Amino acid sequence: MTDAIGDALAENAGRETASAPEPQPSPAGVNRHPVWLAPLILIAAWAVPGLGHALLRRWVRATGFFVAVGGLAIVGYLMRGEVFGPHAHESFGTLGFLADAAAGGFYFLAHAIETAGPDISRATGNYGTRFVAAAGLVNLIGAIDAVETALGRRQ
Amino acid sequence: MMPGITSKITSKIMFATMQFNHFWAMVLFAALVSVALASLGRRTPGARLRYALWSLAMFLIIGIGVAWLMYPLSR
Repeated sequence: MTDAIGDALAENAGRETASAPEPQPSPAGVNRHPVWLAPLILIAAWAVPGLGHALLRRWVRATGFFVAVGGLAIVGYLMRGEVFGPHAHESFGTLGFLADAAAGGFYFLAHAIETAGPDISRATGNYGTRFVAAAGLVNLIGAIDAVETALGRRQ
Repeated sequence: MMPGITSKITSKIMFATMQFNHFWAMVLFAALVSVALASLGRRTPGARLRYALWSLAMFLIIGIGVAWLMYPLSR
């Protein structure tokens, strides 16, 4: 009985294998990495802007994202923009926190650089708030691109 | 000694950054975002440079255009 089930499974597996479509060759220049690597790339790209691309040996993109995200975040802090914490009392504050925290490691440098705290009573401080949020959003785009590249969906 | 020097440099940079007017803040924002978009959207160095310059120009032209369109509302 057990042998019969085993034979049937083996036969079925063999039929599926035989009828499975041929794997499509990946386009030129696309390197497909193991799927389990994608979450690691995502975390690395979030934590240090550009690190996801650097792990995939996309050096120019890695440098571009590091300069852009780092520049936006640091200039935003120097302009005394508001950096939202996780315990916001309103939904816009929560959105602001999500955008700011998307900058990864640079989010945690905020208090070290912006020692005097935010000053949104001036236009410069308001601009700084936008810079910090934009840093997070640009890093988010970079992290998604790194994951797509790792999965072979982008070159 | 090092923390003192670091905080002095940081406060000097912060003071310089606080002197930005709207235009230069916009230029800096546009330049940094253009770098990210160009490194993402194009593959060759020449194409990236052209795309970054194009994106920067579009940011500035559209930004100044929208500012002028909104100017009557501010008066």
